[in-house]
Formats: sequence, C-alpha cells, structure tokens
Amino acid sequence: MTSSQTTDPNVTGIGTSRQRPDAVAKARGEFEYATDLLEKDMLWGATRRSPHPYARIKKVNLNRAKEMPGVHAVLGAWDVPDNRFGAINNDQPVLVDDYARYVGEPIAIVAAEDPELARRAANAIEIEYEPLVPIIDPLDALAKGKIHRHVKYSFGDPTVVGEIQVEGEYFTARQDHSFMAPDAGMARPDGHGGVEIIGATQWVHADRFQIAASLGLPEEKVLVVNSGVGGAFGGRVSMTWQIHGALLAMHTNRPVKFLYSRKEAFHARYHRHPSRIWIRHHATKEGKLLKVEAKVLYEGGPYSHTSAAGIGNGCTLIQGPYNIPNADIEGWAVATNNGMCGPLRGFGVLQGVFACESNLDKLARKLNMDPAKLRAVNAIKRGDQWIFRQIQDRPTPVQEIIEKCSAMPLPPDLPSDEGKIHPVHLPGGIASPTGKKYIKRGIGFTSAVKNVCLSEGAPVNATAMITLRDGAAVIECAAAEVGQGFVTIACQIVQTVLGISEVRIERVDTSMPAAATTDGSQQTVTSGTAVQVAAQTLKERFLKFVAREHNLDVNTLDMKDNFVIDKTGKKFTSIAEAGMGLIFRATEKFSQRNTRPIDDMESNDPVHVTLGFSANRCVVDVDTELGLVKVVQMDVVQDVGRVVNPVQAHGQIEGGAVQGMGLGLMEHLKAEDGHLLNPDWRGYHIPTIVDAPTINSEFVSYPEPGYHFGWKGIAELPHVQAPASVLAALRNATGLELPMAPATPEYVANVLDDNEAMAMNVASGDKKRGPWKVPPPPPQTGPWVSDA
Amino acid sequence: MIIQSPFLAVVESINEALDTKQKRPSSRFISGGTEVIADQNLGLLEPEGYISLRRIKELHTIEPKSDGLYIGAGVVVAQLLDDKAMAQVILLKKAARAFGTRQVRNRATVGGNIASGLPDRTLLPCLLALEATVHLQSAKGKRSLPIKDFLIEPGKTAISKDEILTGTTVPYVKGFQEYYMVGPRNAQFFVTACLALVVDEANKNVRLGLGNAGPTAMRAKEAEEYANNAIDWKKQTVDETIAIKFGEIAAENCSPVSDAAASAAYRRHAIKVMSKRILLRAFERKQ
Amino acid sequence: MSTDERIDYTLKINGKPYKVENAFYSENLLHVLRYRLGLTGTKYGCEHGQCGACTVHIDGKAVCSCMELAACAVGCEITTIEGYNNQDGTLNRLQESFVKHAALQCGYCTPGFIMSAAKFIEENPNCTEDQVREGMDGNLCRCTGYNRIIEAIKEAAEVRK
Repeated sequence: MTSSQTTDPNVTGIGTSRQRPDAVAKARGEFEYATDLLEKDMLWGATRRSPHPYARIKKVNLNRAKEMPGVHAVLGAWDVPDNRFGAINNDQPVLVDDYARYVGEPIAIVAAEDPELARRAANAIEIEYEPLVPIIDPLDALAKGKIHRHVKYSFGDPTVVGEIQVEGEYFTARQDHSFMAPDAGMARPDGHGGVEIIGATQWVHADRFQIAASLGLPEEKVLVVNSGVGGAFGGRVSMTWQIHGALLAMHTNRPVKFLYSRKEAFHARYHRHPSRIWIRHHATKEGKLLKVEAKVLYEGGPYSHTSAAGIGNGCTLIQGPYNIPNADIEGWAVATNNGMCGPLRGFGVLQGVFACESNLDKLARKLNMDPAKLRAVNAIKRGDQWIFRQIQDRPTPVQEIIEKCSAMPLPPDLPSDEGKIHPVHLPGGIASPTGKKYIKRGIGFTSAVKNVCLSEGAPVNATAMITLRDGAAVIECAAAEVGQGFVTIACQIVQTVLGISEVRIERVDTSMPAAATTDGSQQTVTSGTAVQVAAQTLKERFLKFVAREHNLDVNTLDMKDNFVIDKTGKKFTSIAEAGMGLIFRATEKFSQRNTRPIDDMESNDPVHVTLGFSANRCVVDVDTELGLVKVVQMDVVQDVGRVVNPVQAHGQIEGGAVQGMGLGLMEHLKAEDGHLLNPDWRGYHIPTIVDAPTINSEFVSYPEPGYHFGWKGIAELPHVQAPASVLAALRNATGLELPMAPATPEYVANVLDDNEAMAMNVASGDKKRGPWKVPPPPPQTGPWVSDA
Repeated sequence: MIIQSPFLAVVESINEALDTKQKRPSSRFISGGTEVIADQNLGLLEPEGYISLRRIKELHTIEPKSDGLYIGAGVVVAQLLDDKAMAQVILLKKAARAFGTRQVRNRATVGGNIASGLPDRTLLPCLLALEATVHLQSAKGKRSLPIKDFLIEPGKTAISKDEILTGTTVPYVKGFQEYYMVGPRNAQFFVTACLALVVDEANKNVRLGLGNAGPTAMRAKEAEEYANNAIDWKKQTVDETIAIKFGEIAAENCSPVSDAAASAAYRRHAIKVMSKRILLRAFERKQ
Repeated sequence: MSTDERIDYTLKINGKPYKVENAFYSENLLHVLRYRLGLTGTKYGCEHGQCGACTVHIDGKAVCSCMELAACAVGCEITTIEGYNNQDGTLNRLQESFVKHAALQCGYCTPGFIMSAAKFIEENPNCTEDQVREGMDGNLCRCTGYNRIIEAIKEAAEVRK
C-alpha cells in the first residue's frame, strides 16, 4: 500500500519524501490563498454577465448602477483601452462590446463598498439584447465552418487494410476543474501609475503580458503576484477577473477584490473540450496493430483559447502507447456557444486516449484476447516511430509497465456474508438498494501516453536564480505552485546540488524572470531543470571562491552535508563559514528542445518534447440493473523517470486517478440550448471520500536523457487514463458498449429514452441523449463531414 | 426575542414567531438554513427578511406519545440518528443515516425537510409510508393533517402564510421498515429517486412512499393495493413474480421528471427495481 | 435598499467577543468570519453546503458556516480553525497526521477537513477506514484522491495506550 508512505520534515535532497514547505501553514489554515486577501479600504468587484448564449448587445446603460450609494465605478467595454485578449490569440473581449457569445460572458463590471452593494449594482445595469440563434451542436459548427483548427495527416501507407477491423464512435463530456478555491484576488494601484494583481494563476508572466496589453500599459507597469493557489488542474491557465480588477483599481485608485461564487466560476471559466471521436483499428488476427484511422472532433468555445493545441494533442496521441505503422488522422476543434473550453489535466490527450483504449477493448473482445496482452504485444519501443513522424528516442518501458501492472494483486471479493459489508463499499453507498446478489465485478485494463511539456512549437523554458549566503540558499523561480509540490522539489534539488539542508523558495511574481507555465506536466522537467542548472553554476562559483581563498585545487572540492569536502570526503570547512558572509548568486535559463507543428513537414524536430507512459487496472463492483458503481481499486504503474519526491509522486497519481474516475462516472457539465444545466456542486458531482477507490501506485524508473537528474513529468497521466480504465471495467461487468464518459447510472443500466433523438449532441444534456446509432462513416469523409 | 431588527428576527417562542410573521408577512421562516441560505447564496432566492425559529426550545423535543412518536419541527437530522426514542421508528433512523452530509445532518431540521415540500427530500417518502401527521399552528389555533394531504405540488404545501409547522407525529408500526435511494454518486447527493417501505404486520398491509417519482413525494397506492392482496400474509411470503409486478405497478403509476441528474426513464426504472427489491427484502427473512 | 437591512451584533468566537457592525442581515457566517472579522482560516469553497471547506464548530457541532446566518449565531460558542489550533503555533496530533501522510496538496480543503475530522474522531475513537469514509462524507478534496486523508484520520483517531 503506497499510502503507508509518509513525509518527513527533516530529510533532504532528491529521492526523499521531504515534507512540503507550506504543509504546517496549510494544516493550521494560515496559508494565504487568493480568496483570503483583504486590504484596508478595498472595494469589491462584481460582474454583469450575459444571460444569452449568443446575442447582439443593443444598449448598455450604466447610469442606474453608477448612481447607487457605495458604488465607486461601473465600467463597460468602452472603458477598456484594448478590448481583445486571449490565451493564445487576442480574439476574446475583456468586456463584451458587440456580441455576447456564451452564457456568463462579462459585459460590465462594478466596484462598490461591499459585496452585496456590488452585486446589486451589477444587477441594476440595464442591457438590451437581441438574442440570436446560437450554435450548440459541434456537428453544426463543423458544417458551418466554425473551425478553430483543422488537422489532417497520414503516416506510412494509409491504404493498408487489416484482416481484423474494429471501429467505434466515442464521446467524452464537458468536465469542470472544480478546484476547491474559486477565482479570486486583489488588484491594487501601485501609486506610480501602474497596477498590481495578486491572484491565483498557473503562469504570472502570461497574465502580465495580457493585462498590460489590455490596459495599454508597458509590462513593467504591471506586477502579477501569485498568492496561494487552491488547486488549478489547468483551470487557471487563462484569466477571468484579473483585467477587470486592474481596470477598476485604476479607475477608483483603490484596491479592488474579486471573489467569484462557485456558480459564477462555472460560467466564467472554461472546461474540458467535449469530444466525439470515430476511430478504426486495423490488426492482424494475432492482434498486431496495422493501422489507425480517426476523425476527431473537439468542441471548443466561441473563442479560440487553446483549442488548437488541444486538438493537436488529441490527433497525435490518439495513437496510444502502441507501435502502429500506418495511420490516417483528421481532426477539428470547432466553435460553439456552449461556453469556453480549454486545458484540463491531460489536455486534449484524455479524449483521444479514451477513444483509442475503448476501441482496443472492442478489438480484444473480438480477438478474444486478454486486454493487457493485446496492449503488451503492441507496446511502442525505443527507436520506433510515432505516427506523427517522431522517433521515440527516450526510454520506453511500455511493455514493462503493462506487465508490472497486470501482476499487481487483485482485491478480494466482497465478503459472502452480506452483514459484513459496510455500505460504503457497495455500489450506491449508504441506503443503496443493492446487495451482493445484484453485484457483478468487472476488471478493466488500459495503458496510456501523455506528452510532457507544451508541444508543437510552443517555447518551453524557465529561468531560475539561486542565492547562497551563510550556508543557506534562496530560490527565485517564477514557476507557479498550485498544489502539485514544485516548492518542495525545487528545494530538494538545490539541497542535493549544493549539499546544504537549508533552502527556501520565494513567492512568485513577475519581477522575476519568466519560468514555464504550470501546464503539461512540465514544471519539474523545465523549471526544475533551470533550478538544477543554476544550482550547478552557483556551486562552481562558490567552490572556485573557496579554492582561491584557501589556495586549493577547485577540482578536489565538493559540497556535502553542509560542508565543503575534499575528494576523500573529509570535511574541510562548513559551507556557511567558507562563504565568509558573502552572497553568491547564479541565474540560469533552461530551454526544452524545440518542437514542430504536426503539419510542418520540413523540420525534423519532434512534435512533443517527450512522452510519459502508464498502465491502469481498474476493478469495479456494479449493480448492473440499477447502473450503480463502486470503483473498488485502481492499480497504476507509471513511467516516472527519476523520482524527486516519492510521496508527492504517489499523491499526484492518486489524486489524478480519482479526478479521472470522476469523468469516468459522474462529471458531466451539461448544456442545453447554450445554457449550463448544472453549474454548481449540487448538480455537478465530483468524487467524494466514499466514491474514492483504494489506489495502489508503483513506479517504473529510467533516467530520462536530457536532464541531469533524469526526471520526467508525471501529473497528468493518471487522470488521462482513468476514465478509459473505469469504462473498460464497466464494459467487462455489463457487456455493454458504453461509448461515453461519464457512464452515469442510466448508461450503465442501459436505460435510455428510446424515443428521443438518436443523434447524440455531446454538449447537450437531456433531450438529445440516446444510443447514438450513427451510420458507419463513408471511408473518405468520416462520419460528420457533410457533402457541402 | 434574541434579535429583533426590521429584516431579521430570532424568536424564542412559537407565539413570538407568529406575531412577527403577522407584522412582516414577506419574511421567511428559517431554521437549519441548509436549504434556504444555500439557495440564497446561489442566487435562487432574494430574501425579504428572515424569522429564525431555531431558538424555539419547544420545537426541539422528541417525545413518545400514545399515538406515536412526536418529533418537533426543530429537531435536527443528527438527533434522529442519536436519540434513543428513535428505535421505535427505525425507518427515520435509516433515512437519517443517508441524509446529506455530517455537517448538514447537524443543522437540517425535520420541519425544514417537510415544509420544503420538494419531491426529492429524504424524509417525505418515509413519513408518507408511516402515515405521519403534521402539526401546524397559527394565531387562530392549531390544526393537524395527514402528511399526504400536506403535500400539494413541488414546493407547495398546505401550510398557509400565517402558519408555522410545529412537528410531526409518527405512528408506531410493527414490521419491516426500510429506505432505499439512488443517486449520481455514492454519497452526498440530492436523490435521483428514493423510496421507503413499511410493512404493517398488525393491519396486514404494505405502504410504499416514493421520492422524486412525481411532482411531490407520493404513496404508490396501486402497487400497495396489489401487494396487499397478493402477499400470503399467513406464510409471510412474497415470491419474485409478485415483487416484480409490485415494482412494475409502482413504476407505471409514477411521473418523474427528466433533469440534469437523470432521465425520467431512469427514475421510473429505479422505482421499479427498488420497489421489487425492497419487497423481496421485507419478506426474505421470513422464508 | 433600506438601511434597515443592516444590523450590529456580537459573536463569541474562539472564546472572545467580536463586534460585527453594519452588516447585512442576510450575510452568512462564513462571509462575516472571513471578510468582516479577518478570520480567513475558514475557507470559502462553494457556499452551498457541498464541500465542507467552511466547516466550523458551533456549540460543539461541526457545521457549514456558509449556510449559517451570522446573526443567528449570536449567543453561540463558535470555534474556527484559528481557535482550534494550538496557540503556540505547533501542530496538534490530527494536523501532524495530515502533514505526515501528505493528506494535503493545494491545502484549500484542509482546514475544513481538520475541523470535521476533529469532531468525527471525538465521536469515533479508534475508527475504521469504513467509518472514516462514512463519517467524513461532508468534505470534498480535489487534489489527493482521499486515500491519504483516510490514513491521516485513522492514525490520529487511534487511542494511545
């Protein structure tokens, strides 16, 4: 059991389970999060949002709100110096000027003396709309050419036909990040014509760039500070209240606080792209994969955001961690008015892996082959070529992972004496109508691949500065800590390189040089490597100084256990003393290798910096008649490179697996006619402590080349494959196809309204659900490309 | 009175509550707050004043009486789990265990759950199956009525504007009692559908209360009638075909809604299956 | 808006009186604790009773402060994480166990978990894993997957011999 592993505040260096530096403050409720910020004389911000998925704004009258007592500013689109911003492209209004394109899109903002006044003032703003017909069906968007990005490529011989062919159409729902701390923060004038934004973000520098541009200020006039972040999971990659706060702070010359309600956060933020994927695998009778064909459709929001990157991830890693010599892939990210879509842990890859793994399940059934064996037979190896024309040039222990995972012990059956089963172990929980005789056990097996670092030409780099004085080091690196534990491992890296125990990391803001974004499992391998390189440089400088001062050969010196030592390990002098009270500094930048867009046929760069692998075996107990499910256990084996902090690594796997299980079973943010149906935690369900299975995780560890310590990004993989794994187990228990995640009770029980529309709209909820019996696609065009 | 301000009153007696309500008709009674304040925070209601009933001691009693167990409206759900007297009404104890969360059970009141009148509330199908009586009081006097007459439509009950719900009397029934529910996950949810079965051994009948199977919590009268005739009361047995039929009739006669949590079809299916299973369960020990 | 909507009252929090002035009658205890009194250890998560991040003790019961009208808590003994903490800045046994078992990542749910678990353990010493799962159903965590939280609470609940 991995959960028997514990942290220790006293251990140091790479490979130990050092305790988080913020753990004590967090356990005492003293750690300051963005929601907690308070300031004397602060005003409260509020936002007036569009109630329509698509509407022309005919008139906005702020006067009534402005006249209300206690209201200090009411601003509309015309108050924004440059009213377009965006995560990648500047195509999104800060405040709606002409057309509102999703429910919840901000139109006007208010600053008032307390939150209730601000709320009332925002409600008092008069807006006239001309509602227009929204696009709510991604197929409709595709037909109308509302396309953020179209990807099309083939590999090998796309005309190859396999003896065995298996195809299917698979769907994943709109998933919400549902991090615990809603969007919040403080904007305050800096007294010199600039503004400071203190909030929760995954990348301070990207925020600053966009805020400064929208305000028409030079970047140095904007300081973005990361406060405590209460979870992110990709949901804080782009901004919500930040530019609004800055505008209000500049207008009122007072600090302005924003705090979104949970419901507001659901509307204001983006969610995981719902997907609809047709995929066909060709194989030999022995189960050797020959070709993969896929048509990948991701529903993006009305603005481009990161949809282009998401569809790129999906269209490449739909391959799964398998060697497939031929491929024909096409994909689209399309624009609808159902709300914004963007990164969520496992960005773009989760959907592709779900389709791939679901279809391989089908292939295994058709071949009557053990699903783990089918995957092992096809495992990609070092030296193989990916379908996106990249050589797999790093350790590739896919087969080993699959075999190791299959060999992990299975959980015991439910006790035969019903009285001995505590209801938390039953499908349905307390007061469940189930019983042992109604329960079937299912086992699913999947493996997965995820790109580590941003891909397709996105620059990935980080700069770190380290200061050593009196034997203690301070790290300045603008990598956002969102709970994942970068603050712990950065200290451990410096401890190991400099041989010291006392290391601390500074709070992150834009006065530091930029680091990588906390995204794509890339922080350890990018910012961590920058920290390591800076520490290495610092060590050389320091030892050079010591050698010179003491007339020694620098090559004989090293640093260990807080001492300068010689080659024999003899302690020469303490590092604190050897520094003679001076300050030693080093700043280094580390850049990941370059990558290329999928369709760049000239370059020989890889598409993805590197790739990580994992396998997950999921065991479920299912009341097949009622569709109730208890996930009993998930066994995860992951390729993790060199582990910096084992407990944190296990923690990432456990948390990611449960978050992925949420999408597998229950997480579905539904939209109907462009309106979210369940935008709060009464209606949007994330796993509780009763739902969470036992998770056993094991590592396979090969040092990753290109990094001194051989580490690898790990945070997303467990989430990427968990939905596929849960569904595989459910298929095993029920014998149903279950092409959609989440498999809510009605799907698992196979009780669907037959008379309702057959066409399945991924985005939409109730009226259009159904067993999506789409006709098989014409081979040239795929299932959805209309003749037009 | 603990607080007396124009928009908020924290009263200490029923009379104070009724007086205040008369003076401020738009004010809303509130006790546990687990529904009303959550709704307020979600923007689902704009309050026009509150009258808090929580400090009215006389609403907090659980008292065995000759005609049943009296449960004050201000009794919180956690008390249903802990109070010794609840051993006589095992159904409510079982339902209480499945109710909300630990924090919610400490605050949500029996009165609030009843007065909400919403179809998915945990206690209502139980009280229907137990044929409980609810007690109302106004300045004009007291009245009591069967719970089935109290529930009118979603969120609407027989309670009038000047009345307060003071409690419920739950008859003692000898025989099997059980509560089942299904939902979107395995803890902490608003029920997708639920039901409660009471077997009245003395009167040889079964009573099935359904939750979220129609506009209000309801009794499955047709199914009950079928079962009462079909059950071999002498042998105390039910065979599977009877249970299946029982479930089918219950499902045929309910009218659940489709919403973001589940389709009407699934709810109907769940009622069918749960009814079947609960009846089998009720009689399996006797076989 | 009417000024009548505003009221003054005094709350007893962690054994000390706190004056609340000119607050809307409709303000919930969570808001008053955090933004009027600066007691931000109690966390704002969903404000509709689902996540338990705002759990405090009122008269010895674990409740969600978001669903409590602040003014209605007049005369009650309110304990927040600030009052529950060891006053010398150290961790108590339950908190130590959370830290040791890495039962927190982003940590935002942690004060709520601690406040719920404190009451749960009081009522269920030597609890089993199953009891922890049932009894801690009112707190959500999005980071850890709960396995380590269960370990932490179980260990803290073991009665020392």
